[in-house]
Amino acid sequence: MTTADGHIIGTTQISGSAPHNRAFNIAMMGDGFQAAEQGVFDTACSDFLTAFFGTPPYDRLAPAINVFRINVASTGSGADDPVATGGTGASPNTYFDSSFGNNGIRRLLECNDSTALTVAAGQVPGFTVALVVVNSSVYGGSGGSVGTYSLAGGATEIAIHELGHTAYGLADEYPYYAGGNETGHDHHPAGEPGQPNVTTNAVRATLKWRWAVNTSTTVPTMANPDCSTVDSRPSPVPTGTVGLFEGADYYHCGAYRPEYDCKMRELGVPFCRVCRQVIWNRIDPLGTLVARDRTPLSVVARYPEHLDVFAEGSDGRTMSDWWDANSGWAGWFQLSGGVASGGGTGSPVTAVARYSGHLDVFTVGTDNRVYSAWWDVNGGWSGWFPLGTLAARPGSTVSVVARYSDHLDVFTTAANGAIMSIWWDARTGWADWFQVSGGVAGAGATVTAIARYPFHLDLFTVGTDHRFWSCWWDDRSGWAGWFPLDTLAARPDATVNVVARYPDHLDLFTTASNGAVMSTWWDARSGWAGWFQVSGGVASPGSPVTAIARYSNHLDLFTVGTDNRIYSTWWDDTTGWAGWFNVSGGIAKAGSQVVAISRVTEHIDVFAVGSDGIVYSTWWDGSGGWAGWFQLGIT
Amino acid sequence: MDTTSGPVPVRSMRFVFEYESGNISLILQQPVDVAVSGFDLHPDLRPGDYVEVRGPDGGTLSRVPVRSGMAASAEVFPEHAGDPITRVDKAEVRGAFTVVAPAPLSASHVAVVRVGRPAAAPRPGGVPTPAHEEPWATDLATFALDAPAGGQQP
Repeated sequence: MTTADGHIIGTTQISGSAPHNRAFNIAMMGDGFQAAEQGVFDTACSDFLTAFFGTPPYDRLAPAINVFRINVASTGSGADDPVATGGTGASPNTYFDSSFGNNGIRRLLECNDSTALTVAAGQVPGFTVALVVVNSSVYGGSGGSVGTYSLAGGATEIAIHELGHTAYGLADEYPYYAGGNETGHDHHPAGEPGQPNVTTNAVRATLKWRWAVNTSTTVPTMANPDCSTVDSRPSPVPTGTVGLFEGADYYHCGAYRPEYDCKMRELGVPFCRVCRQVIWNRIDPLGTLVARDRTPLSVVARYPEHLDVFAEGSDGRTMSDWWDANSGWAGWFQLSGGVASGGGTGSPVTAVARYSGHLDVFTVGTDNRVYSAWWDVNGGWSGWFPLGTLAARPGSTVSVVARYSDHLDVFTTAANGAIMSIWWDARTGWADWFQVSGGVAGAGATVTAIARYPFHLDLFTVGTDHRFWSCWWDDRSGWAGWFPLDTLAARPDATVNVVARYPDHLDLFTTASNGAVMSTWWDARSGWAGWFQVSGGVASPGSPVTAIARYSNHLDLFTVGTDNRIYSTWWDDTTGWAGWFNVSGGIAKAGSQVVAISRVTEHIDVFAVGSDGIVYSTWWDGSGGWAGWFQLGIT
Repeated sequence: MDTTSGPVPVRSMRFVFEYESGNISLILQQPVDVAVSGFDLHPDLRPGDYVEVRGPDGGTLSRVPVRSGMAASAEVFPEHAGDPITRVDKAEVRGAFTVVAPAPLSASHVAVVRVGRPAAAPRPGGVPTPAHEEPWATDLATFALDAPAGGQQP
């Protein structure tokens, strides 16, 4: 009863056309099928495909899923079926040594998973999960690293349930260990389970699936009145209601599941909303991101070998992808279930890293409230939470500055255009929103903030008169009044980009009413200079100008031109401004933004939404120049 | 877009481990052309078992979860709809599991790691306070990698 008891016939891809290196690859193997019985195995695989792709959310994820059938001929037919557990006593010689009757239970059907994993790796090197179908009409199956099931009716449900564990780390949601009358499973141990679909936390505000809970749903939704047994009452809410149902993770009380029922609790029912989202989050990042055309992207380098990129899907989902020098691009994922306001050009996700193991992100939600979330190396992503009750202008940008690691200053525009701010300090938490020096921004204008020193802020915006305005805050004198920056007429929705090459100097970049790329500077010794056009550049209507300073005497600028090509220029104090040039043939969506970051001085990473709506990236390196654009996703 | 070039993928490795009575052995290490998504890459520490790829200095280069390995119990599925799924303790804790993990050129070792749950309760929402309760981690087994190969993004 070893691999000597048969041979591998061959492998056939029976579903999907996704690139094998960026797909969810299922390897199906047959055990106990003799050479003449391969047609039975082929039919079993087809039946699995029907059941699998008929199970949401797999019905919508098929483009990213490949299924392979590995035909293996066994010497004998069927599987071991010991008499001691009520079986027939059959003991055929099969390739994967499958056997009923494990642990004294006939329907506990297991195979040699070492053999199964090794064969799968040899036949489908990039397989994600392995399944073994056993040639028997006796009901049985098991999970673990290899899902095993028989030909009995309904046994495919075992495979789909087990994929929930193997591929996504979903917990069992049933509230018992051995059927409900066992001892020692009354109360779940303290501590939060790591799995995404069970929790011991009954607080709505911090519930890990609170993004899926309607505000009208009571939390907890169902509490077990008798922890000595399973709560067998019917659901008090309609099917599909996401809430907090007590009894999960093998315990009668103290652990909760998201819905009354779920395939991780009972075979034959759909996956709950939370499990469907987890499955989606595993498979969807294998693709690229079609972004909201003109919503600005943002990027943060928490340390030189790491990038976090934030964007919005065309449907407004708050999305992120990250790159690490040791693992490449991770793939797009929806950030804590967030959906951003689609007003204007769409409210972007803005981000700041107060220190290398922490991110704070901000956006305006579909209810036009300002939301924040954070990621911490010791806890992962939090959920989105509202910052006060401010009604923001639909689609407005939330700007954030960390003057020091325990402090955040946040700026945005209210529904009436008022320039608003709120701050957070580690010692005191979040303050209340306040209007900054009576300022009101023009329609579509953003507020740009920069901290040249930990005790100083400079703000810039376009006023209702379409002129550029600035004000500043200093901890000795508080907020100053707004003052105009010369008389340049701005495009009404213009964004001011500001760079401090050193603390006593500011360089501003924006677009004038005719689209001209304009700049001015401020220096502590000489004050504000006049506006000038940068190398004759004109931007696509609505496209902002992005600037970075790799050195104190060097600037790099990026924008989208009137021909929608992605352009760059640079300034160096020894040579002045260079001419604009097209970056690696890149073409962007009209009016979109190009974002750039320099995580090391001789390197620039650039991101843009291409003319096809997909997020692209390229890079410049001092030793190799510009690379070609690539679709940002997973590598 | 001119997409003539893009990032060079980081090499990935498939590992197959066997376990029996607390002993873990590495039975397969194989370079594989598979992109590992952020769903499986865990820069943050959460309770569970993981496989870590490490550099010569012992530093972690990548970490992926072991989702269905080394379980001490097995699920028993009901034949009839509506009957409960149950679990039974395994008479023998043995089996195998596999992961695919990024393994850059500098990788030299692979380890199976168990991360434990911190004692603290979940943090209150609304205040982005960094967590100070750090999970504990224990190496269950460590193995040397066979041979380096592959490339990194420029």
